[in-house]
Amino acid sequence: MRVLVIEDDPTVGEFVKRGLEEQRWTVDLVADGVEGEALARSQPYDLVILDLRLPGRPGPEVLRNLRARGFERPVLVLTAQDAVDAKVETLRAGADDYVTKPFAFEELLARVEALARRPRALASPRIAVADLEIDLDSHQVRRAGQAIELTPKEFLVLEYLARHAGRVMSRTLITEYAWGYHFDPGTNIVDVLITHLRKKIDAAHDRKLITTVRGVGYVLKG
Amino acid sequence: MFWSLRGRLTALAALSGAGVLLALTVILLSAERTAEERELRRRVDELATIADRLIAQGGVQRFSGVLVTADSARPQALSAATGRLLAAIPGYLIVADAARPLYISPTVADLGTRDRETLVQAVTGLFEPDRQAAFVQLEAARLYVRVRFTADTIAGVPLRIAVGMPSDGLSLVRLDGFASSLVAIPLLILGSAVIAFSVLGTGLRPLERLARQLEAIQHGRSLHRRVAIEGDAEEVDRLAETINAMLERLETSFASLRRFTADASHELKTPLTVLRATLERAMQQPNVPAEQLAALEDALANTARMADLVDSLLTLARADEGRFDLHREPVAMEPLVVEMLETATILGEAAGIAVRRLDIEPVTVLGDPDRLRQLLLNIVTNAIKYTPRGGTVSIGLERRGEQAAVTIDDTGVGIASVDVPFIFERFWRADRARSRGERGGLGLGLSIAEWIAQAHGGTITVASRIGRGTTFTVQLPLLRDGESAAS
Repeated sequence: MRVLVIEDDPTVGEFVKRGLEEQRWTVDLVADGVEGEALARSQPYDLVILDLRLPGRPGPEVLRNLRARGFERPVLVLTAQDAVDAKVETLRAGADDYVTKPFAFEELLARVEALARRPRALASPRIAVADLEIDLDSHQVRRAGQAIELTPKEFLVLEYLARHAGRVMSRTLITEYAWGYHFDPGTNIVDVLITHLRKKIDAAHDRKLITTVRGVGYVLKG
Repeated sequence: MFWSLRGRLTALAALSGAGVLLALTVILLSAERTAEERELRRRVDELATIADRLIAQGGVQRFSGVLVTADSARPQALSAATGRLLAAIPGYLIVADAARPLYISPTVADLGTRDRETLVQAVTGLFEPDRQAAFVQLEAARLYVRVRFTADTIAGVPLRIAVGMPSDGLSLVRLDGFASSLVAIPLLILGSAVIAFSVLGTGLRPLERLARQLEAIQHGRSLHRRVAIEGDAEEVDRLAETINAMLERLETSFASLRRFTADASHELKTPLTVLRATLERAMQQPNVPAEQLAALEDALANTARMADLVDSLLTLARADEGRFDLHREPVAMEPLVVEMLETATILGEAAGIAVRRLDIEPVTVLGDPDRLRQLLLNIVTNAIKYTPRGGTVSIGLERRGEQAAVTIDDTGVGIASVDVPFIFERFWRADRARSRGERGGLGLGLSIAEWIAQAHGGTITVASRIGRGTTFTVQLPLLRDGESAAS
């Protein structure tokens, strides 16, 4: 699947490009509105990610031009304006969805996958880490064949760690994934939740899957 | 209407108008009375002069006997011609010497006995040089009586001639006038009110026009508009110019606030986005040493906090502009509250606080699910923060009439009643010593919560007792039939 990222800030652009490439997308990155519009019209992209403030040609104009010329692929807009009327304006101009800056990559990825109609289930409805199995559809979790009951938040955190198995996931990222982006609990809520998960998943087994990385977060390793 | 400027000025004008009219009436009436009195006096004096002449022509000597008696009113000793002539004088005539009446006119004789005596007595009393006129009240009439001395004398003493004329007319005129003017007062007030009202209506019309234009500007939130300078009333024009100048300044400051909000959104969020992207990328690199990873996580946590703060400030800045724009969709509250329960349980576990589930009824509201989650999270974390170890936080959801009511009750430190009005104010923090020693945030949580509730047409109410705990109740209008997604 090919995606075009039109974003003038090199750090943000590279960040999106690399992140999507890790998810096996083919990504082209341009920093200029005029160039981006030309590329979108000449190449068969599955999706366009468009920043609204661009040199050359502003994002909304690029969007309107593309739609006026029959560009039908989904366009995801990156905007710093989170006022509803600004968003309505963006959607009216032909955007399919928007992500408000600053965004976590996980949030962007969720929108991109939804827009590209590439369901997560298609990638894999099940995640397996060692003898831990997670069914994303039925929310069932098994360790060594034994069913484990998890609360909704516990499931979210485990799923998140399992998706990025082998990688250290920070507390901030885990909190944002499980509680959304406007939540500052003031305490380390993730630590309590991980304690629960450990009791349910690791306690009865010699092989511990959840490892603490001090001062950072947690990693789920097979 | 009455306490409007027009009403008050009308009342004032009516009252003062009526007062002036009343005063004028009194003055006119008393002037009239004086004139009538003067006329009466003139006539009485004239009659007395005539009587004097008649007596003089008849010859005083002929008055040598008693002219009248108490029994007979008819002149006896007076010459027939003089008596006839005197009888022809209109009015009440008494001729007397120093002690008793010598002659009384038929009109006096025709009075009842008591009236006659009263009159004779009064006339005798008037025979003092310094008192020559008086009003005498009889049963039959009220008389104005004057006394004068004849040129001729009897045994060296001049005769006194008393002439009376009815003064009833005079007094009646006065009382009638006064009474009718009293009756007229309400009419006068009404009349002047009507006139004043219409005159003032015209006079105040420029102000009225100005007010209407300002209302239109206020309702339409159209600060770019100006009020018209009509040029028909100097004071109003000055007012209009001042208002226009103020509108100018308001427009400028609102515009700069809006520009700031938009600019700040971009200028603050873009570097935060870059910072976040950099941090997330750095953390994804393979083989990052643990200490570096911890530093990056610390930076990421603070970046997230800062992004949240920027979002809160911009949200509140927009709220200040009166913009309550929200994305709206039907939101089932039950799962949201159940999620709060789980979150509260986890937070409570770390803080040694029990979390109790109250009744949770399924209800649906129209709103922004992310904002509603933020609203409830803010209140739940607040409740946990201000409840000491061993306490309880209870969470419930019920339907109350046309409202969904979320109750978050704690057995915490409570809020002093003097502080309750301030807890939703920005940056306000209760006594820091009361909360557990955690980083408390900036005190924007409840302000945001209140804004979210208001933007949904809801309310947050607080009941609290120091040392006993606090109950927050969030009420949101239920989704009505036919309502659906709209922004």
